[in-house]
Amino acid sequence: MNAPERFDRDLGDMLVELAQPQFPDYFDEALDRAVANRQRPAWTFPERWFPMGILTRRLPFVPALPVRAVGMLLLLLLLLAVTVAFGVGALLLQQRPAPPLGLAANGLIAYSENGDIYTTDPRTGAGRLIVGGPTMDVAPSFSNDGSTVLFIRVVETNPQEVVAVMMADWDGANLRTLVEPEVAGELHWSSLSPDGRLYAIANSADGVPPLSIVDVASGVRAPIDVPPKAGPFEWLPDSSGIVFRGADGDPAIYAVRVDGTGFRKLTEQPTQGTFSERLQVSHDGRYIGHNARVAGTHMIYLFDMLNGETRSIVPPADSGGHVGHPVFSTDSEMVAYIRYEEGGSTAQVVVAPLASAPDGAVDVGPAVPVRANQIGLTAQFSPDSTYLLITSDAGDAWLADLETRTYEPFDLPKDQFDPAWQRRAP
Amino acid sequence: MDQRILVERARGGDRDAFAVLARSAATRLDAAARLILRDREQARDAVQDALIRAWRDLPGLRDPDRFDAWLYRLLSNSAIDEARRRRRRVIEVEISAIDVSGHDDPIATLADRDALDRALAGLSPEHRALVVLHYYLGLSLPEAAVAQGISLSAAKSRLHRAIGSLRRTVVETVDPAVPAARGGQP
Repeated sequence: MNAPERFDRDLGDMLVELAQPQFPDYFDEALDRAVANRQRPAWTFPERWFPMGILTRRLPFVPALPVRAVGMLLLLLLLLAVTVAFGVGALLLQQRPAPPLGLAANGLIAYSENGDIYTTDPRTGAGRLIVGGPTMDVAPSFSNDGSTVLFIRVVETNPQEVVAVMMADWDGANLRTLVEPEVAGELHWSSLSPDGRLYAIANSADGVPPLSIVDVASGVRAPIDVPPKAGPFEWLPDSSGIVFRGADGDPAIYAVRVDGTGFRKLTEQPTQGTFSERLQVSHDGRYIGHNARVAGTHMIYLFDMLNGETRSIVPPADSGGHVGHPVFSTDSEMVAYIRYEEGGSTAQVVVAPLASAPDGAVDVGPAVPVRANQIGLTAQFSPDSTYLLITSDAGDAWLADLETRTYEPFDLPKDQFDPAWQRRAP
Repeated sequence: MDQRILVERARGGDRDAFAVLARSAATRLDAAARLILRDREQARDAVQDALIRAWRDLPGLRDPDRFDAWLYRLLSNSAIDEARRRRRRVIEVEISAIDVSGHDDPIATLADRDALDRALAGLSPEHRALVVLHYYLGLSLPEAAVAQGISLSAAKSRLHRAIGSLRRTVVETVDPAVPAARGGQP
């Protein structure tokens, strides 16, 4: 059992330990004050004497048919017909698959809120519930061709988190289970391959293979032999294999084919620090980017698979700041990351040319205050690489235009998290 | 005496029966209020308010067997009301006196407690109340959802988010070598 699982199991005891329960010395005084009040008579609670039939009965209604109402009805029907026509058109556009890699048109943005999955159209603001109900569904993502949405279904949270992986058509139809429920360890990552045929799932929970590949069509799951505690993981763009960091203390980055063969070391990263975020692989397959923490400072490493060199993005010397959480644009031309000011008090998204970063870096979007142990901001490029969707820990969201470097608030619910941008055919 | 009989008597205006019920719950109410509000004086006010509401509205409790869950719901509501009323007030972090006797690893215990205290401080009162209702007071998630007046799915989502935040902060603080799921910056 790892530390997070122990944490979930022990939280109740830890709360007892923290609270140090003892009989309150003010109890007698509080009790005297309470019983000095008069009790409400039972008849003042409506549910105790109104028959439920009365409370729930619908009032009789006799509809009238004035000419004006009929006219309004016809007008509404006309509007409905127009809406349906537009909807069918949009549906047809959505059904065209996007290319699995590189630039694509911007589609819907999916997010989870209150355990349900929604989509919103960033052009019109039109929102839609696509997976609802009493289940707790989080972390939606789209397949690279935009046709499928995948998400995590949290089946249990206490004493351990048990999750399943679900998938559905992009509009929520045809919902099915891709990975049956299993205990989720602290390192729990899963992702559809860029070509959409395979699904990789990494899980640090006891008794579960650290990495396995699920064939989407058949549901057959095959474990991949990687060292325990390896990770984070990411797909290679051609869907032929997975790249990952070695086990604890091993700073190298490795790759393995989806059939478990071809295990090989790609690079020895120049750090003994920790990775604290997933690996990023550029769509053109050239760069691997990741966070590292060295001597207390967060920095970014960019490994160039073409020439084997590693470049670092570090905060300004003696600034006391940090940088982290790199993401690549879909055209593989830009990298965005977060710059933290001294003491980590504020976070700012920075965008730089991938070939020269950090040279040429510019600030994009707002600077926001950051609380301890939080990341402050996340950023992701739009499928056409012209916008950046920025979200904050506080639930705010902005859409930044990368050409003009202007940004404006983007209407997402405060309680949402895990937004994912759908790719569409250009 | 059987709790159901005590509740029925208290519902009929028996102050002594209510005193027995309140006394048996007082320790947990006080501790839960301190966990939610992180302020001893505010916790005292919340418990006081919950007891007043309980006595006043007891005749409206239809199922005496649900007394405990109902009382915890009143406390949760009182605590959240208290937090909202005094949100503008500067809240000092209360560090309880540490009793390290009887623990295998007092330093680890101290670190755990300190980390959990700071992690709880990062949650909203509503999220703290949900964690306390479920993990400390032992309410099931549907009961906790009812207690907070939110849907089950909303409760699940809130709890998932709250526990994720607590876990990240505590695990990273106590064991910095363990990476957070979404990362984090110092």
